[in-house]
Amino acid sequence: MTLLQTLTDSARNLAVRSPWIYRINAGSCNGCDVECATTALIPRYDVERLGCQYCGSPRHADIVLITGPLTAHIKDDVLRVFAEIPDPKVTVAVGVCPISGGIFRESYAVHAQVDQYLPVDVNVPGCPPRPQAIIEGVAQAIAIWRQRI
Amino acid sequence: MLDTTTIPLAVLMFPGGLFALAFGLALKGLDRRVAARLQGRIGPPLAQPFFDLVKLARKRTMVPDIAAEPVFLGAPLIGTVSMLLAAALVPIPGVYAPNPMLGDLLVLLYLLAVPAVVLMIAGSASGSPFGAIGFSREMALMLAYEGPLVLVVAAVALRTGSFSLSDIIAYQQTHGAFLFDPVMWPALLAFLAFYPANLGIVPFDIPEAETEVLEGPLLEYSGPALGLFKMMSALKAVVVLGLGVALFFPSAPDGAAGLLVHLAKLVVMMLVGVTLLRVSMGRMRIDQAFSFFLRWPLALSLLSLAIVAAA
Amino acid sequence: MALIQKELKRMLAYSTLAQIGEIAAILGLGTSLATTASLLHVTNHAVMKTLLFFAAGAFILQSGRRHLKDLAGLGRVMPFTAGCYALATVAIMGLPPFSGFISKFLMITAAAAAGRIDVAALILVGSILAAFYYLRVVRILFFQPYEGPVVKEAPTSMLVAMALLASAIVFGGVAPTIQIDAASAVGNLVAARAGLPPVVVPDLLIVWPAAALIATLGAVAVWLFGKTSPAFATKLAIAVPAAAFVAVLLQPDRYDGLSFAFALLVSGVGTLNMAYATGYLAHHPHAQHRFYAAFALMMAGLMGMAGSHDFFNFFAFWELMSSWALYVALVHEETADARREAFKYFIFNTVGASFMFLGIAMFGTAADSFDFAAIARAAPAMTTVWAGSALVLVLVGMLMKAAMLPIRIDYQMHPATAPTPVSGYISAVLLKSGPYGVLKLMALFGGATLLDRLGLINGQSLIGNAIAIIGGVTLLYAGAMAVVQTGIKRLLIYSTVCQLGYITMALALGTTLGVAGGLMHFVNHMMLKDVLFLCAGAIMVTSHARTLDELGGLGRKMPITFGIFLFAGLSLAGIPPLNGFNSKWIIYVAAFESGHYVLGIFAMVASLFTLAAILKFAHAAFMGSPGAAAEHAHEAPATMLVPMLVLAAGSFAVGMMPGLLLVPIAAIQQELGMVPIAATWTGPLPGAGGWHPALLSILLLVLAGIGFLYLRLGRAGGAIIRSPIHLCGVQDIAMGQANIGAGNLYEAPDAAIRSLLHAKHDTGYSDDDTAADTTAPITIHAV
Repeated sequence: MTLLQTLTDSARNLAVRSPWIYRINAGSCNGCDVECATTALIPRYDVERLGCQYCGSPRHADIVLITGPLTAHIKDDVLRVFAEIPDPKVTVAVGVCPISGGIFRESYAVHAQVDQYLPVDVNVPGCPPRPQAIIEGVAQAIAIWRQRI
Repeated sequence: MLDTTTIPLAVLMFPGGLFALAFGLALKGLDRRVAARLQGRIGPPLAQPFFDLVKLARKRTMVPDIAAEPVFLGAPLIGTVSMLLAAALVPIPGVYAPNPMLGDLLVLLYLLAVPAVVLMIAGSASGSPFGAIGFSREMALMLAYEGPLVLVVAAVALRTGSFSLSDIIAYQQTHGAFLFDPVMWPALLAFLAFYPANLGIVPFDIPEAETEVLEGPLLEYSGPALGLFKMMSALKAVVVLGLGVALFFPSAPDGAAGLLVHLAKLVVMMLVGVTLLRVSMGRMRIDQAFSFFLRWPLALSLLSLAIVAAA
Repeated sequence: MALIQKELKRMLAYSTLAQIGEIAAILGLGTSLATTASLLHVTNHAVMKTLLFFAAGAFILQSGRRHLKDLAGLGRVMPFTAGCYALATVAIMGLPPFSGFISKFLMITAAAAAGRIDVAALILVGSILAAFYYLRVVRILFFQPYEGPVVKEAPTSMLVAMALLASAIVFGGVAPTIQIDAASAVGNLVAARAGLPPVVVPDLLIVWPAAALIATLGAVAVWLFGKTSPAFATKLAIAVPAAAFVAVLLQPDRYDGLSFAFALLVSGVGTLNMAYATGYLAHHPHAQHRFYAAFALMMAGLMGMAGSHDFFNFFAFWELMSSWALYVALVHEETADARREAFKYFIFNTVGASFMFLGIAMFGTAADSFDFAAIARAAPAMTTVWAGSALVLVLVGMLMKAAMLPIRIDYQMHPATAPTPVSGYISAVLLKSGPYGVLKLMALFGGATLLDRLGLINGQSLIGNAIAIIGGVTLLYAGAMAVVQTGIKRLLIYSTVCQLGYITMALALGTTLGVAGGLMHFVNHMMLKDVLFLCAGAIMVTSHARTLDELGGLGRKMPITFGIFLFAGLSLAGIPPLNGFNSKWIIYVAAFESGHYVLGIFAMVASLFTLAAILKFAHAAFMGSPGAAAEHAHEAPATMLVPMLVLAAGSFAVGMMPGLLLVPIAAIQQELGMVPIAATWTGPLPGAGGWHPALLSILLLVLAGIGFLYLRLGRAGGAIIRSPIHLCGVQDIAMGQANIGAGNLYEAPDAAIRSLLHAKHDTGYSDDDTAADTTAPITIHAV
C-alpha cells in the first residue's frame, strides 16, 4: 500500500511539471491574447521553462486560459470546447473581461462573468494583464492542478 | 536455432525497448532545450518529455463518438510497438548486431513506414476533418520522401552488395565510411533531406501543423493514447538516426566506447539536422514540400544510384 | 459484311459466306490434314448453321420481327429457342466444349502444318470479327429487357428438331471421334489419289478431369434446378465447387505439383466465393442460378486447365474459362454498362486467346503432338524462329490474360460492373491463369530447350528478362493508377493488376528465390485480394454505392468487415510482418540478388502506391465522418462474413508460418526441375538474411501487451469518454459535410500522377462521370 502511495505521489510530482496550456478566446479584443502569446514567444518571459506548452488541440490541454467577456454569439461554442478538454483541468480567466465583463459589462451581447458558466480557478485581472501576471496565474493554476491530478 | 536469451533482451531492454525509449526521450528533451537556447529562452528541463508521458498517463482517455474505437486506440499502440521492435533491428557498430532472424534492412525500411501509416489511420479513424487533412498531407509527404529513401538504400546496398546492415557496416569498416566517399555524397545529401521529413519537424511538420490543422491526426487524442504517439515519435528518432549512422558513418571502437561514440553521433545528427533546421525555417506548404522532394532528393538519389552502378 | 446487317437472316447468310470462305481457304492448302479438317468443319457448320436458321425462323414465325434490334429480350419469352440459338452461336464462334471448337482447332492446325501461318492468322482475325456480330445477337436476345406483346414458344415439332441439332453439336464437341474418323477416311481417300501420305489426325478428345466434369455437370444441374426449385439449386451451387475440391484431392495423380496446388486453390476459393455469392445475390435474386451456373463453368475451365497434359486440352479449357461462361457471369446485372463492359472484355479475351491459339498450333504441328512432354522433347529440333515465335505468341496470350502492359489495362481490365463475388474471383483466381501458364511454359521450355536459344542477357534468358521488365513496368503503372481511382472496384482492380505485375515479374526472374516469391505471392494475393473484394461487396450490398465518394464512416456499423479489410489491406500493402509483406520481401530480395536493381526499386515504390490506395479506400469507406450511406448500413450476413473470415484466417496462418506455403513450393520447384528453396514447416523465410515472421509477430504482440498496460493507466482505469469531434465549437456543419472524400484526399500526388500518366476520372460506370462531381458531399479540400 505504501509502495503504491509512494509511486502515486512521485508520479504526481513528475506529472505536475508538464502543464499544457490551451487558450479559448471568448470574444476578446485580442489584447490579452497578444499578452498570452508574449509569455510563450518572447525570450524574457519563456513559460516553457515551467514545462508549459501551448497546444493546438483542447484534448491535450491541462490548463485553460480564457480571455474575453463571453459574448452571446460565442457562448455555446466556448462551453462546448471547454467540455472537450479532458479532466483533470484548471481554468484561468485572463484579463478583466472574463472576470467582470470589463468595459463591455453593460452590453446586451455579453454574458460575463464567465464563472457563472465555467468553474474558474484563478483570476488574472488587467486590461490586458502583464505577462508576469499571466505567468504568476499559470503558476498558481499549477499549484491547484497538483491537488487534482 | 533461435537465440532465446538475447532476442527478448534486445527487444525489451537494450538496444531496443527501455534503452531506446529513454534515449529517444532524452534526445527530444535535448532538442527542446537547445532550440530554446537558440531562441534566447531558458527552455524546459531535459527530462521534460518524460514528465509529459507521466502526465498523459494520468489523464482521461477521450474517443470521438463517430470513431471506430479499436482502430482509434489500436493505432498508437501498433505504431509504438513497431518502433520498439525496429529499434532492436538497428545495429550499434562495435556493440550490437541484430539477430538475422529478426529481419534485414528491407524489414527495417518497412517497419519505418509503420508510424506514418498509423498516424494516417489515426487521423482518418478519428472522423475529424482536421485528422483527414493531416492524413492527406502525411500520405503526400510519404509518397514524396519514400522514393528517395528506397533509392538511397538501394545505392548503399549496390555499393556493398548486401541488404544486411551488418554486412554494410563491415564493408565500411574495411573500405572506409561512406561519409568520406565522394561517390556516396549524393545519397548522403538525399538522406539528409529525408530524415527531417520522416521525423516530422519544421519545415516538414505539415501533417501535424498545430496552427493550421490543430495537430492534424493527433487532434482527437488525449491521455495515454497521446502518450503512446509521443513515445513513437521519440523511438522513431533513435531508429532513423541509427539507420543513418549505420548507412553512412559506422566507424566506431568496440565496447562501451563504441556505444558512447554511437550516442554522440545521434546527438550531433539530432542537433544539426533537426534542432538547427527547425529553429531556422518556417513551415512549407504541402505542395511545396511534395515538389521539393520530387525534385532535389529524388534527383540526388537517382544520381547516386547511377554513379554507384557506374563506379 | 455480316457486321453491318440489321436483319437476322441476312446476317446469318453473310456469315455463311464468310465461313465458306474459311473452308475454301483451308481446302486450298491441299494437304490431307487440311482436307480432313475442312470436311469436318463443313459437317459441323451445316449442323450449326441449320440450327441457327431454325431458331431464327422460329423467332420470326412467333414474333413477326425480322430486325435485330426488335429481337430485344426475346430470349426471356422463348427460352428454349433462344437457348438453342445461343448454343449454336457459341459453337460457331469455335468455343469449347462444342463441335465448332474441334473443327476450328483442326483447321488452324492444318494451316499451321502446311506452313501457312498467314492463312491461320487470317481465319483467326475472321473469327474475332465474327464474334462481334454473333455475340451481338445473343446480347440482344438475352440481356436486354423484353417489350411487346406476349409471344409463345415455338411449336413442339420445331423444338424437337432444334433439340436434335443442339445435341449433335454438344456430342460433336464432347465425343468427336466418330466424326473425325469419318472425315479422315475421306481425307485418306483423297490423299491416296494424290499420292500423299495418309492423314495423321491429332488426338482431339477433350479429357475431363473429374473435378472439371463435376463442375460442368453441376453447373448444368444448378441451372436446370434453378427453374424448378431455387432453394435447392442455391445449396447445390455451393456443393458443386466443394465436391470439385474433394475430386481434386482424390485424383492427385492427374496433376503435377503446381497444377494440383492450383486446382485445389481454384476450387477452395471458388467454394468460398460461391457461398458468398448466395448471400450477395439474396437481396435481388434475378436470374441468380444462371449466374451460379456460369460461375461454376468458369471454375470447371480452370480446373480442367490445371488437369491438362497437352496443349489441346489446356487451350480448350482456357477458352471454356475465359469466353462465354465468363461473359454470362459478367453481364449478370444486365445494365447498359454491364453489357458494354462485358462485351469489351469478351472481345479482348478472344483476341488474347487467338494469339495463343496460333502459337499452340505452331508448336503442335512442329512436334506432331500436342502433348506437353512431347513438345518439350521436340523443341530442340525446331527452328529457332518457328519455336520462338510460337512461344512468344502463347506468352502474349497469357500476359494479356494477366493484364500486363503495353496494352492499356483500361481496355483489357475485367469490368467493374460485374457482381462482386465474381469480380473478386476473377481478380484473385482467374487472372492468375496467366502467371500460372507463364511458369508452366518457362519450366517446359527452360534452359537449353528453347528459352536460352532466343538470346541471353548476362546469362539470363532474353524472354524471361523481357517478361520481368513488362511485369515491373506494369506494377508501377497500375500501382500509380490505383492511387487516383475513386470507383470502389476500379481501385481494387488496378491494384490487382499491380500485384499480378509482382507475380509475373518474380516468376519471370526464373531464379529459385524469384519463383518461390512469385508463387508465394500468388497464393497470398489470391486470399488477400479476394477478401478485399468481398469486403467491397459487403459495402456495396449495404450502401448501393459505386464510388468511394458516396461512402464514409461505415467502420462503426460494420466492425468485422472493417477489421478484415484493414488486416488484408495492410498485409497486401506490405506492412511487416503480415503475409503480404513476407512474399513481397522474397520478391525484393530475388530482384536485387539477380541484379535487377531497378525492378526491385519499382516493386518497393509500388508497394507504397498500394498502401496509398488501400488507405484511401479505408478512409473513404470505413473511416472519416459518416455519410448518408452509413445511417442505414449494417453488418454483412453470415453467409458473406464466413468466407471472408476463412480467407483472412488463412492469410493470418501463412503469415505466421510461411512454411505452410514454402514447403509445397519447394516440392513444386523440385518437380519443375529447379533448385528448390530451403524450407521447413516452421522455419524462417528463405534466402540470405531470411527472418522469421512468427518471431516478429510474437514480439509485437508481447510489446503490444506491455503498451496496452500504459494505455490502461489513464485516470479511472482507462475508462473512455465518448465525445463529439472537435470542430472548434461550431455546430452548424451537417454530418458528412465535413467529410473529405476519396476524390480530394491526395491532391498533390493525385495531380502529379494524373499529369504523368494522362489518367482520366473514370469509375468504370459511364453514368457516374458527371454524377461524381455533383453528389459527393465535399466542402473541404485537402491542401
